[in-house]
Amino acid sequence: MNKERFLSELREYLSVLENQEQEDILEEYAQHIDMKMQKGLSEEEAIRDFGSIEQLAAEILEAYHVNPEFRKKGAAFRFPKPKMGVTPKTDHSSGMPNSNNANGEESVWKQICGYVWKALKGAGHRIGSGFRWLGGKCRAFAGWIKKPFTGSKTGFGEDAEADRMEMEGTKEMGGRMGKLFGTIGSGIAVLWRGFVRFCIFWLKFMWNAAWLMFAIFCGCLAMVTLMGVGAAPILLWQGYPFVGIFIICIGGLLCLGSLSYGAFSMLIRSKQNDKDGNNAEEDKSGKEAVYEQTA
Amino acid sequence: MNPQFKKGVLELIVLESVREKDMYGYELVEEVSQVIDVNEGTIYPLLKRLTNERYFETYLRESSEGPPRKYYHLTAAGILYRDSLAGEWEEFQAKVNEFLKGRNVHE
Repeated sequence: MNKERFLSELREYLSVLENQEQEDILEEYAQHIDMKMQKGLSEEEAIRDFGSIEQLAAEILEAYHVNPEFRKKGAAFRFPKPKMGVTPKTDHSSGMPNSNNANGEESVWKQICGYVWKALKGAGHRIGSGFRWLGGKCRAFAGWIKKPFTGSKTGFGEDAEADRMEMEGTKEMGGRMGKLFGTIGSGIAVLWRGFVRFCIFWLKFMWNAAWLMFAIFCGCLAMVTLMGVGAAPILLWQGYPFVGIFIICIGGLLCLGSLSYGAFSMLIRSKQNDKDGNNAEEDKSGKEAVYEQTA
Repeated sequence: MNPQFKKGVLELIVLESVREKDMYGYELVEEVSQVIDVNEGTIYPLLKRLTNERYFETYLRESSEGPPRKYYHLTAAGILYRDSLAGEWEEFQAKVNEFLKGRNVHE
């Protein structure tokens, strides 16, 4: 192997380094070979003393904290090869296609991002409507669960009516006994009404609390996944194998976000219902009070 | 000689050589070769690393024969580094020697 071959081969191995650094190192080796030759050694012998070029290059790269395996990894990151025997000045000529390449890649990325964005938007609408449908069903279900209680309320109202009829009846019979029975009956009725109201209030309270807890829980998890969505691309960019984690984070964010939104919306609706219900009850109790007074 | 031994001590020998007087690459390689038998190619990466870590400064000086030569000069940080390495080496070899002697007495 002659000096030219040796130097150009070594340059190939060192192509990760800046041109200036490559020159510095190659200069030293060239001088070393020259001096050996001055001492009377042949070109061949002088170069043989360096041992394997690959090992030598690995040692040089190690001095720069560069992984010698770098060059072998994927062609994507391959730097343009310097031409054999031609001394540097490839700086500009090699820089241009590189940047062009980067631009090309960037535009492709933009396109891909555009598609992904559109797909996500569409999917978002669909997912949203899906969840709205689910929310509607859930609300219907919740209403169905509540029904027995509200039903018992109206049932109770009828009971009270019956009580009152009885009261009227006893009144017609006359006497203090009737009045006593009447007051006992109405007392029991008031107690019963309070008990039922208490039960309903408590159930509603539990219902709301459960939804609130669920919503907050989902919200917190969504925040965590949001952080993941933010952090994963950066790590991904740095070369960590985080594609899976990134996708999981996006999925988790969408899922948990809409779950918590759903839970919150559930909460608000049921509260509004609560208010309406309370108003209605107040009206009713007001009317009843008036009725009782007149009676 | 075990190449692992050489690798560890090479740095110290190179630093010590340059401490006495500034040297250029080939000169240094010859100097080091007198102490330990080492692949000539491995000294340049070492010089590069020590220069990158600011233990060496380099300058060019014309020579009567051939192109200008790159001389290496030990910096203040380099002197401190050499001293700490020399200290480590002393301690290390004293311990190893003691251990080996102790073994010989037992046998």
